[in-house]
Amino acid sequence: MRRLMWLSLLVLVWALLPVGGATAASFTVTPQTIEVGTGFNGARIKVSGKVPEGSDVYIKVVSPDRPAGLSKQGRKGGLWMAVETVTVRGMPGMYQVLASGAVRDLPPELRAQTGIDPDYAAIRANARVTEKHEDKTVELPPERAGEFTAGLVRLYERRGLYAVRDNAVRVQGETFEAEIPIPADIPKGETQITVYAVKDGSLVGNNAQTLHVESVGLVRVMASMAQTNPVAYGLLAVGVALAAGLSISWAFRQLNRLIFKEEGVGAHH
Amino acid sequence: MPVAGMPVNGLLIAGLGGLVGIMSGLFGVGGGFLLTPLLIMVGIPPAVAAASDSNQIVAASCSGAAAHKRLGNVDMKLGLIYLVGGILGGTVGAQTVKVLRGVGNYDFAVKLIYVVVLTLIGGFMFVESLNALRGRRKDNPEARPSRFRQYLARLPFQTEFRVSGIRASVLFVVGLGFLVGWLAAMMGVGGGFITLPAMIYLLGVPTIVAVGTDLFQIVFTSMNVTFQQAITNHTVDVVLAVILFAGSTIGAQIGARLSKRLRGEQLRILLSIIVLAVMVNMLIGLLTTPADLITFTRGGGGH
Repeated sequence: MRRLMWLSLLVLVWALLPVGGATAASFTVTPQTIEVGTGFNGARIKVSGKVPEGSDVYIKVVSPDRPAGLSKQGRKGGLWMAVETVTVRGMPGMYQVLASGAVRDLPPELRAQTGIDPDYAAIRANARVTEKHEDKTVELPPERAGEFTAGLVRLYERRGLYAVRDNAVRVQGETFEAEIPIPADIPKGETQITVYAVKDGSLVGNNAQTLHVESVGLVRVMASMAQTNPVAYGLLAVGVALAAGLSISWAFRQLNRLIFKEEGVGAHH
Repeated sequence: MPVAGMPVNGLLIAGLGGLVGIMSGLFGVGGGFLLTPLLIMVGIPPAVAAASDSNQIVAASCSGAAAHKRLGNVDMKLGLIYLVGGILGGTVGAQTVKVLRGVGNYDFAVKLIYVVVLTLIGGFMFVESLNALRGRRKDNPEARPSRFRQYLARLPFQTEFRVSGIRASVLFVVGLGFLVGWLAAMMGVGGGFITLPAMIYLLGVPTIVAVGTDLFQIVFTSMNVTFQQAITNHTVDVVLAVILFAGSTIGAQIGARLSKRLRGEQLRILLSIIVLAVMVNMLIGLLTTPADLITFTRGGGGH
């Protein structure tokens, strides 16, 4: 019992020590859950915590993989249309890196260790790009896959899903804080937020937290139903439309009768 | 939006619905052929725009259809035979959408079809209303398609449609229904711009019966298209549809009131210019080099 107490005290002291092993970074994420509802229009996640004094802080935000269907546009008969279609798998749906300085200042050996990838090179190399030939699925060789993974990165960057943000973490003594802009089409699931403290070219602390992204309310019910139970969803969509059409036209008739003392005009046609 | 899978400003969507509603109230057209392109222009994936528009049309047309039915303006026999084609066409149309989306060319196809259709509608309306403004009589509609009507009269399976007071081939009616049903799925429209001229000028159906029968078939064709799109393409966004409908209902009330105060011919020129402007926008989309050669196949997110 006594030994256990000593042990736990030791652990406590060790944990509170400002400069320790590679875990000496602690932080909180607010909010910890993002609820994507009907009016969801993106969010800002606050990350703040402590790192050993004098460290550079890097924050890596990675969402689960999500497959993406891509087309390459080409000109046929003067009109632009899709000439090639592929599926890209194995790339995270969101990938952001924030740093107190410049992300590119991170030494190469630490890039590999932390998975911080300012050129998205490792992420792209990891992706599998496949093409359908009749009923066979063929994986594209790297020299042809590169065009599509680079294109996907551009598409994601444009939506704010992929970003490398220099000078986006404020460090003051031991404390740091940062705001991560989350675009509205953030992938659902568990997003990992990892903080790395780097001092004198080596990793002096790191810690990870999970940000939960879930659909709520009407959006969740509808979105999941549309995918998992399309027959019921289709019937519901038709039913809702009929109910809306008939009830609103009835309501307008009443309203017109009341206000204008006349028969209402039909809603359409 | 749950299915569009993207953030969409609800007010903007309601506003677009309202705009199209005002036009449909002003001009007495359905407006589906304007709503889908407008939705595409604000960034809704074309397949979601078309399917949700079909859903919206169910709401927008059902009360009108019921009213016409009560007034006896629906030729049930014509409507039901037309619907045989319409249901088949809509079902095949949803499958066509699926195939085209698989190869990443639905966006291309829908824009191309819109350019053709909007050019025809807009051009016809423009010339028509310009002639009317200049005080010229338009050609007798009976005169031009007379050879076509003679050909129609020779088709097999001629039958009597008593409410409309016409004889027509079942084959032609089913074929026409099929075309309109297919376009309804591809474009997210009711297809009145084809059904009405075809019924009035080619079949000789009285205008009021044509309007009633068209609305009747639109309700069921759009219900089928909505359902087919939901089960084959998962592209129906019911939230989007309801917001559109709310906007267009209010717009239609405003439009109908406005139309009592404004002159018809100028209005029709205005509508034709709007239609042609939307067409040009679609055409530019087809002709200009895309900003990025790599795009999402399904037009929307990577889901």
